[in-house]
Amino acid sequence: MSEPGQPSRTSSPVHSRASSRGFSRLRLYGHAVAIQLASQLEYRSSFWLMLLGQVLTSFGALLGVWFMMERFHSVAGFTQADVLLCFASVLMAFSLAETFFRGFDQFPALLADGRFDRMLLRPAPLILQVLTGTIEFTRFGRLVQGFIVFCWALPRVAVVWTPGHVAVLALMLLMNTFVFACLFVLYAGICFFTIEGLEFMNIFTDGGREFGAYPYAIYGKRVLQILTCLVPLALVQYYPLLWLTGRSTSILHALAPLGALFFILPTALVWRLGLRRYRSTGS
Amino acid sequence: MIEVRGLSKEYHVRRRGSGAAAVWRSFFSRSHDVIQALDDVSFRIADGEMVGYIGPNGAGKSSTIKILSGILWPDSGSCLIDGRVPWLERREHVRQIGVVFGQRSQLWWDVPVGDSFVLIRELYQVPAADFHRRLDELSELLDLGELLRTPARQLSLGQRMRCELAAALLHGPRILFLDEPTIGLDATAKLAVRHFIRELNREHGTTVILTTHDMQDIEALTGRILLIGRGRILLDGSLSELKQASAGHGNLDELVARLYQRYELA
Amino acid sequence: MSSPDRTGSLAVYRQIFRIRLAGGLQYRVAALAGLATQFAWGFMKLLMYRAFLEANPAAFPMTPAAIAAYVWLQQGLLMLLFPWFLDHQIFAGIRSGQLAVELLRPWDLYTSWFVANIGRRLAATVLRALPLFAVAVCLPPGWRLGPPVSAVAGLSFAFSLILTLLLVTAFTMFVYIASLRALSPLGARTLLLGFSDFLTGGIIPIPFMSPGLQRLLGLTPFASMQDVPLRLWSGDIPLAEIPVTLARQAFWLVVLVALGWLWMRRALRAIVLQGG
Repeated sequence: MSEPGQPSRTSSPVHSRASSRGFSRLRLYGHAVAIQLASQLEYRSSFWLMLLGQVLTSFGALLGVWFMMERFHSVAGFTQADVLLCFASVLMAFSLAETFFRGFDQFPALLADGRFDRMLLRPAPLILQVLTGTIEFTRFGRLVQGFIVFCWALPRVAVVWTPGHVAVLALMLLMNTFVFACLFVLYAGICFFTIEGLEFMNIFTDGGREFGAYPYAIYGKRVLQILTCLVPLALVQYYPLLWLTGRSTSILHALAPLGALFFILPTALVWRLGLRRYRSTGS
Repeated sequence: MIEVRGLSKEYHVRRRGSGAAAVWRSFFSRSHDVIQALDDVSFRIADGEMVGYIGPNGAGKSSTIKILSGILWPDSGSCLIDGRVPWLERREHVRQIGVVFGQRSQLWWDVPVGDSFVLIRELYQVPAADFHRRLDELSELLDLGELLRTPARQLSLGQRMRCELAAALLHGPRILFLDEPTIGLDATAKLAVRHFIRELNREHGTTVILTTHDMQDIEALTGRILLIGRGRILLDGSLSELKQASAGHGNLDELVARLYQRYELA
Repeated sequence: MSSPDRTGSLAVYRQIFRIRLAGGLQYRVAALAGLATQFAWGFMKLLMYRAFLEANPAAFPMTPAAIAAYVWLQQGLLMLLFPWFLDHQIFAGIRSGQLAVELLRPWDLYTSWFVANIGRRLAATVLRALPLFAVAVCLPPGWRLGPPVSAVAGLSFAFSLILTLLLVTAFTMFVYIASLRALSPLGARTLLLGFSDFLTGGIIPIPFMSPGLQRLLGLTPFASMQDVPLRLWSGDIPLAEIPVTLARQAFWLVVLVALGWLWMRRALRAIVLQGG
């Protein structure tokens, strides 16, 4: 009692505190990535098998898209190359989100085996701890596959590539990863309330990957509206694609992915409410 | 200083019978059971004390530990640990406590123990000098040596427990919660763990709260016993008071079993 | 499958089946969420096929009614038809050594795993299929799950569905047996299941694939799995081809069960010899 909360012994000046904390979190994350990559590579055979498994399962999806486009040549005005570009960018974004946000995807297990309780016993931010807890590099298999398809499709899309196009493409990929990451966190947040009803989230996560293979407009107006306003998957896929492939010249379409930033609000809200509930019911 | 006053906690649990009919019924309607996990629990623990917290399974031990460690909110009652309410100031509070679960690991399963320690250091933001000083001390006391280079999954239970103790102490907590720290250990490992806890308490004055079913742990470590049953503190006293209360002879296990019977816990 | 020589073993299998069924029935919200998910999933798939139909009607190899029936039946019968619906208790049992206990019991391991898997699949399906179909039949024409085109189609569908269930289960038995043989269960699952989704028509119906691939698939058991019953329902498989199609399913069933059973016997003998 005589000793009030131990003062930090680091002698860093007060004004640099916030940035140094941000830096140390980044360092923690970098460390966790490096350490887990090293140890996952240690089980070499199972690492490559899982990587292969990831490639094989999504290769089936690729074949599905491929044969459909071979048979029909175009859908809703999009060519085979357009569709495969769409497929590849969604697949890459999904696999990036899945690699680094895997802990949220496995959240029911984290709750059940007490790993989340252990995180509550540590002073670091919870989101960061879930991120560092489980990083699954075998999910990179899909990334590699997505990248190969991406490289195939890029020169075949009827576009003259300018720096602007490259920037929009990068923005689209980045924000698509962000939306998938939010969906994973949202999924984890819902776990605090129920793990029974969770399956419905699959329509946006796995469904976002499967159905995102085609530009969302092919599913009709209603679906496009839902995926624009409610879960902004179309903001990071269909609208920038319109601009990229020259179907639209509106800057709004090019910058639509930025709108997906707002998705952080409902995500954070559900996570916070869920956490509060978890800590008051203990289950 | 830990001061607990009038802690209560209820859980709502779903009820379901067995058999096809009950399964079918529960598909359409659900009923809840209310379980009183803690019922007006109060006690004080001074700095540097070692306390055994015992009781049958489901008595409320782990609920108490969860509340004291800031994970769980109680329904009512107060708790002040070194001037903080654990569940309100969780992040400041957990810097001052260390927790070891005998049945759950806090180490990264596939990662060498030493690497886990580095991650833990960063999670607690322990200054480098402090970290190395403590790690050296803990390595010597717990004879970690080679273990630091071994992935946690390859450790024997006894080796793992030594690493768990070190992991929980790297940030220099003032209070240590131990939940069945000797479960499943062989005789040598048990003795090593007990010896270490005694040394820790003597050298650093760390407060130790120990929940266990192993009465030899209690005998070897704690001067004071808190007996909990059905969410209530039934006895708070020394080992000899416990012996008196159970009014009989025999070893500690028999005494406790008789106590459970007397309070109709078993 | 050898018939175990103890009397009353049928009752044992029935009990295994019953326990698994009850285990599946107890989660109400999960069932509702699953229903909603499958409904949304099926709807998205149909919307996708609609878009392709509009893009190039001549290239569309099925009638709109047939593709709607295909999608809804597939969604409803997902757990019955898809190879990846595995029993993780079996893997856990292999890993933890619980297998030794199972071997002491007086029943044939292949049969008991087979029955347990069918129980799991049926349990998972019953609660999902019926409500899903109830909604799917009420949808507007072109979207709905219509009745089977004829009595023959309906009967052959039912018969073929049973064959498919057995065939898919026989196929998944290879995954379990491969994990027995100290091969990595992960590897077995990966290699056997990785492609099966696509090859059985789980991603797009086989008629949508290229003619060459369709011919190739016809030589494998994959083409005899889920694609067959789903197309029988809507008459997409012509009347004249029904007997051959069913016979092919039965043929593959016998082959897969025989191979699996023999392989399992060898695998178990190896385990017993090792004293593991």
